[in-house]
Amino acid sequence: MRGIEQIASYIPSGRISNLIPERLAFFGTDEDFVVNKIGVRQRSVRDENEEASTLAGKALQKLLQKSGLDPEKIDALVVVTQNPDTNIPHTAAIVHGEAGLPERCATFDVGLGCSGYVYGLSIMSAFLKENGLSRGILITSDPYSKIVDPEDKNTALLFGDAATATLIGPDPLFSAESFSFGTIGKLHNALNCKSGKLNMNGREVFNFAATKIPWAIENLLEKAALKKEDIDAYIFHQGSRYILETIASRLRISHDRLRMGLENIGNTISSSIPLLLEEELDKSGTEKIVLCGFGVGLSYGSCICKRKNNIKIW
Amino acid sequence: MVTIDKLKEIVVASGLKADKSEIDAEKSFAENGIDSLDTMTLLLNIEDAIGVKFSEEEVEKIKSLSSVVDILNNLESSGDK
Repeated sequence: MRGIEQIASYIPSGRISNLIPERLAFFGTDEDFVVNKIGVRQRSVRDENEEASTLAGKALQKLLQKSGLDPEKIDALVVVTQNPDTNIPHTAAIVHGEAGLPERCATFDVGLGCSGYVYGLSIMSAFLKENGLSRGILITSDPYSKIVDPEDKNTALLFGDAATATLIGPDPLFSAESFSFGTIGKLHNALNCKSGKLNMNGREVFNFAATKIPWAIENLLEKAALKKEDIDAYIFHQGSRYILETIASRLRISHDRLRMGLENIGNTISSSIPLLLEEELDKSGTEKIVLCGFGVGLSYGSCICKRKNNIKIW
Repeated sequence: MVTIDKLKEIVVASGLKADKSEIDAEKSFAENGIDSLDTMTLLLNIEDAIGVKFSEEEVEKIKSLSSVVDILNNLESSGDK
């Protein structure tokens, strides 16, 4: 069985505060709303010369260092991004070239946003299995700072830049199973990028998250014959603090099982789930985790991760 | 016929106010201390409770509980509900 062996992440050191008085006044909001509702005090931001492949490459190098994996053993490399360096070639090929990975290593991109990590886990696991391969690297790298309009209240205080790299292989710490997916394509305009600028219909996205995601999680648990209290950690896409608390409240799950990690980096799109999952890998007492990504599309995907091996000291 | 009192009950059930007497239906949500995100939750809960779906144009017109009643009653009279 192929599963999650290790995760590493790269968060750029740059930060932009959401609590600058002039900015709060410009958006007609206050610190209480930004901290307690949006849940983002500051956002991580890349250097101007850092592209998706740059962030991805740094996450990959950290993963190689953390896992001790010989790059020659990588059979596949997938990059989840909606902000590639260029339309042609695919970003995974650029990362492959920069890292000097072996020629026999397959590469491709997945063009999904906030649901991308869960989709990517399923795609990579299936790709490895179908083709008799051993190890793949799943990277998330989506620098939304390239497309966010700094004067748009709906998005300017929300998104941060980050990248993660997940090693999927034959000796996993966690399995990823019971996948479930969905798309509400008729609402595809709720999040879009036109003329290089991100647009978000906050109410459509909120309604989608508040109604569809609790329903999807209930179905996921029912199909896996698990109860809510069987799950040690719920890791949802970090849309905003308000969305996370709304979903948790509607699902009636206790807040100590809900993971939150956007306060100092923001909503990092497809990286938000693996950033939190990385923290759970070595945490004793975390045996079962629900992952759920949702957003652009409007697309959603969820799965259950189960611990397979004892915690490793790397 | 949807009443202001019914909507006030939904506000309280949504956890946005402790008591119906704290809500002035003629004042805006913001003036009632209900911010933009809590307004989204409230509209969602009203949709669920009444069995309607507000269009984007209708949402644009909703500023207070009183305006919600106007829109719901218009929907009823036009047979859209």
